[in-house]
Amino acid sequence: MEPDADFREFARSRAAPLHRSAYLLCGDWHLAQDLVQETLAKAFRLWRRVRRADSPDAYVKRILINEANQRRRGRNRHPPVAVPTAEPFELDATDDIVRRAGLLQALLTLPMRQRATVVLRYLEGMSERETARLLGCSEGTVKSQTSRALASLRTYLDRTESPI
Amino acid sequence: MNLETELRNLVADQPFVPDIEIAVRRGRRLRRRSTAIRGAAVLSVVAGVTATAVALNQPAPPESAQVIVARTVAAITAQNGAYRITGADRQDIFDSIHQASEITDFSNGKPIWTQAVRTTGPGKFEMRVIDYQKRVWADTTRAAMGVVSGSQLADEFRQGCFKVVDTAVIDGQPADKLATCQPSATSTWISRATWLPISVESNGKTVTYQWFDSIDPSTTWPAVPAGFRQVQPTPELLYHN
Repeated sequence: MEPDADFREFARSRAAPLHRSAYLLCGDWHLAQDLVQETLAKAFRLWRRVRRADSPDAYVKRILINEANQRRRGRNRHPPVAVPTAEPFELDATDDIVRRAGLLQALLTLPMRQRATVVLRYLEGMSERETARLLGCSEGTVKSQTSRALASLRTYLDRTESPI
Repeated sequence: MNLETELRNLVADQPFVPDIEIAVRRGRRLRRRSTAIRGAAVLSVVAGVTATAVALNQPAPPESAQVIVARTVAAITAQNGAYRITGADRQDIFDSIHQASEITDFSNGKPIWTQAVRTTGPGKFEMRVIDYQKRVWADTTRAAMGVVSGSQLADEFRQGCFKVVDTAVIDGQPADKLATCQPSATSTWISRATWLPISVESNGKTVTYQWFDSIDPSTTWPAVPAGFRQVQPTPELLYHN
């Protein structure tokens, strides 16, 4: 049997969803790859603990969010990675590519906690309770973070006439 | 179109196959590093008894481990420059100021692989890797990547549980030896002059720390030896750890 077979199987099955979440957390596909690789490495390091967790998947998502947050803080201390600007820009709402780029831009201007909440709730489809457990906060905090995030995103979505 | 659909469209059609071998190798390395930072209850008990006797001959009693760790974390954070870790089989240089790093693996005292990373602009990094055994090299650029900084070392100290097990004068500097609370044959000497790590002993190997305000970036960019062949930057070549 392949050594660490259960970890390898887990990594193979979860890498793509983690990659998608990582992209929405950092806004860069290459950085998202690095984030997932590092997340999987850390999951391997803690594999016994991850495997015993109630939800190994949630445990690894938590690692991913922490890693994304850590890198964002690191970038703020040192040379900034092309940080998306909050400047308003003209959107052609009929152009899907432009609209999605605008959404990503709006998402990346959110504080990391709100961004993580949006990713977990709306991309991963997690409940408020699951999100709260994963982020280590109360359901009330998840609700308020979600509300603030949606208020910020609504400004963008309203401009494109796309209701949330 | 609602937010769920918009987000799913945003991340659709992006294939990604993880390099699980690299993740496993890196994970093993993190485990070793974690063990190196945390370990040593059994040894620390023995070493603690020894240290009590040895400490009687030292110029000053040791600070508590809690105080030393707090001062070490503060010193690493404030230093925020460059440091070099040198051991029998590895040399790592990290330069927070210039956002550059160089890692070299040795075998029998000879370099076998070097990876250097430096920033070339906001969010842009270039990487050079040389495999001295295969006599090949590669350059590549990345949109963004993390260069290890002293703050990670500070985090490891902050998260660890340590005991003071010895006190001595090393290179003219009073120093305290910390061992971690969990079983491991690992200990760290901390300078009481600078509060920065001097050396780490782990599993019979010792690595030495040298601290700098910064390092000349040109010294962390390896020259390609004559006769080496340029190849594609494969993951195997880039992350040989």
